[in-house]
Amino acid sequence: MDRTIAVLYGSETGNAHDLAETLVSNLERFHFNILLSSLDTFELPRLIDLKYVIIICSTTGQGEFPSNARKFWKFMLRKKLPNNLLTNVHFTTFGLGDSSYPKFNWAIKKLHNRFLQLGAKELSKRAEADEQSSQGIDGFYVEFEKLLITNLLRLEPLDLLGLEPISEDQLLPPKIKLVINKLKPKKLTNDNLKTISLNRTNNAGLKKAIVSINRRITAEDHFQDVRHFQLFDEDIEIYSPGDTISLYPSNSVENVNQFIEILQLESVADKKVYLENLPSLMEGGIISTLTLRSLITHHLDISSIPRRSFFKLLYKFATDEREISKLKEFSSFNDPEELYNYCNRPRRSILEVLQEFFSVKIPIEYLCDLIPFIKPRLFSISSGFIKAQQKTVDLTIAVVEYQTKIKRTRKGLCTTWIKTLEENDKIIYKLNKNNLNFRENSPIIMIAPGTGIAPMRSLIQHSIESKGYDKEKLYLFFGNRYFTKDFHYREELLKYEEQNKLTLFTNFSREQQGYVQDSLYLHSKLVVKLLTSKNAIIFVCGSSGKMPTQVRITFETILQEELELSVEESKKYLLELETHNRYIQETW
Amino acid sequence: MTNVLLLLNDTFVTLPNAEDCIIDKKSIISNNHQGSKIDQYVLSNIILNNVKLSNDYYDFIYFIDSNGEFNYTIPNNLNIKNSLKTSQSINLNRNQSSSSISKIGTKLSKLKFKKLNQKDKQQSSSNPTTPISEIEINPSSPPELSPLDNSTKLKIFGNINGSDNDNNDDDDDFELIDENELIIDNKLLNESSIICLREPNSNNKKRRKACKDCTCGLAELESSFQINNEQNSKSIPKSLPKIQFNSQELNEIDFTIEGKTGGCGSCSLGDAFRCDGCPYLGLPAFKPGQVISLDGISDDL
Repeated sequence: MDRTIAVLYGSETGNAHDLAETLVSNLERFHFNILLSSLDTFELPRLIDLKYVIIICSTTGQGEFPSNARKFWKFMLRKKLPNNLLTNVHFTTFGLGDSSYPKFNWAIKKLHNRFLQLGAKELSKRAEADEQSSQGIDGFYVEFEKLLITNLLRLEPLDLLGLEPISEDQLLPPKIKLVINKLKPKKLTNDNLKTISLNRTNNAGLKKAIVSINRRITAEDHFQDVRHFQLFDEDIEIYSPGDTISLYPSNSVENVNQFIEILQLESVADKKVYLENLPSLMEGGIISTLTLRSLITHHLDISSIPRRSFFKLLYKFATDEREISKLKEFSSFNDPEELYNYCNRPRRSILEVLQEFFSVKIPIEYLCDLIPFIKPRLFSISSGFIKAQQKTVDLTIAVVEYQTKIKRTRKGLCTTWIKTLEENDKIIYKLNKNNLNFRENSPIIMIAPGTGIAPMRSLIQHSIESKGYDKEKLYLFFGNRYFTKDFHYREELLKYEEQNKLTLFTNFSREQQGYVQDSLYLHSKLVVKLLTSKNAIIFVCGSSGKMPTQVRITFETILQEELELSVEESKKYLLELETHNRYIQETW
Repeated sequence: MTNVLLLLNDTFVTLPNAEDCIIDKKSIISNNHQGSKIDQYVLSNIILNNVKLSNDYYDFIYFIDSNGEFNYTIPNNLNIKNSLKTSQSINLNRNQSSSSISKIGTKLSKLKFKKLNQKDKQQSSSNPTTPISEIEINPSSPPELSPLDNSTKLKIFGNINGSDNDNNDDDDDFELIDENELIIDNKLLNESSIICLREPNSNNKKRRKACKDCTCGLAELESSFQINNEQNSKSIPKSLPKIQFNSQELNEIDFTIEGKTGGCGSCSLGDAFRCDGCPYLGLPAFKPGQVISLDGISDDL
């Protein structure tokens, strides 16, 4: 009997891919044969004979499919596909999305709908996971997987084969095996961290740049440290407003030392290592000088919050009864709150968890299975490409630091790393084109609280300097806390305003001026006029969560009041705008 | 006089060579049935009742499908059914061989009808072609949706890359549906079932269970615990330069009950093992006698 299941993923930053790997591991325990591949690399003719297909796909950009799913999707959209094309297929889907975006999980919705149209049958409940939910994507995933396995086993029971599922307690060999190269001599890597980080293999698209500016632009007595960060690259590619830069952070020396100490790896930390079964295309490549220490420093995300799968593997390495039992508890489905309260809510890191479980002895070869690889962080470009010979690119970065129940301050990995960079340091980066096309000659209504100013500044510079736009076309609603402390790029913006090149509305929330949406509402008539008679485009940037939702509601209210639309009609109006690329949202 | 009903697939008739093909096929039919009268109709006209077929009228029925070939799978439609003579065997032409079917009337009445949506007939929207469920009329097997055969599927799937050249977009030759329709036309999607998340209890109604060997009385003091919790965690100042307890002192301290000695021993273990009211929550694990320094693990630069 064929127990083949295809697990296909569409992944932009690796999250969907990770989940697919987790699913594969868990399905294999039930003696299923898994065909794992990205949607684009999947051999379509296999759909003829495959009975079970599970698709895990995120929604990216403006409701789009990830880049490794687009070719597949284009095929699926062919009009001529008959409605009984997939009648032999039993499928379900798992979507990764963010509910603060209007096109929440649109990719997976469309895909699921299309599969149904083509005759495929649902095998288990589908999911639209929400990054914004308190339990994150993982919360949805565990429910999804639990049900899926139950349904699969009902359709393909094991007892017919006389097989037992492989116990969860059984330790399977690692997927990516970390091996110490016993033959090579040790290599010290701590004094030249920055150089080591520069040289990588498997490094498609990576470029080197010099840090030309790394300067705090918020007042010293302001609680938030925001940096104006500039990179210089002789051969920089042309970029457009809306494009992003990927940065590849490393762990701090202190954290790495602590990690090595806890796991008692001092004797082998500086030995050279290699990795078996590493996927050939790794985002950010792998550093060339690979010792255990440098691997941990530049690639293993020990400051990330562990997922359930982490605990599922970790308990096998604990030796103390109490610890085994607690780790097992965290990894089980029984009480999702336990794990949530322990890790997610306080944002506890892998390093901190390991510091509490003293009896754990992790075999080195499992380190890469246990700890996820550091993913790049993306930042919106905040400069316009205005000179023909431009060689620099700006970023506007808020350093992440906050308190939770845990006494030690939470710090963002990437922004903490950025703080260590000095001018003239060399780093690697990647330019990502997002192809945000702003229709020619349409006015743009920009809404940007805080660091949301980044892509706006790019757009403003580009529009004014390269396209000759002026205040009739550029409207910026900019919200901050204090005029003197965090009004980013104050001089620049006020100058543009003075020159009649920009219409600027500001709000300083700690000075009783409310938020961006308050100014927006105040200028309802202007907004409506721009939308209805000038085909204006709306562009919203900043923190995800409440802000974009509030802004959207404000627009709906404005439409309802000025155009006398019903609530439904106002929502529909905005949806129309979106469909025509006139409501663009970039939130993080 | 032999009456033949010739059905034409809607997509087929839009093809440039359709006319020639029809003439060709009709001559084949005429050869099969000398002196026959052929009524040809585009399928949609019959479905939409634009034409009226006479009941109990046709001796033979032929169907030209989207590929311009005779297809022995006849679209399932009441008008078509009723127009066929019930007592006759129906010739479903396929390479001149006739599969004769008796009691057609009974067979047809067992067929399930798929509700035909007006909108389906127009080839415009996102719905795929051949929306009509096609029933294979066969004496032995029960009527059901006939699956496409594998060679047809292979042709469809095999076409993803076009030819070997990746450069030109062979995809552009294929017309695509409007993908936004898949969001707007969400009837199928709404009928599908979706995972709903159990939100964690954020109002702290549910307390964490007491740790093993609980001696602090958590088990007994569930209700008043919440008050103690708030008071105790607030009593620890934010910046603790140095905390040091030896094992004796640890055993003595119990914040939760005034004057009670003996601790459950879980305070020194990490947050994973501490109970909800533990005043040490948020601090790392420590061993008796160990100095706890918060700054020891910070990496301020």
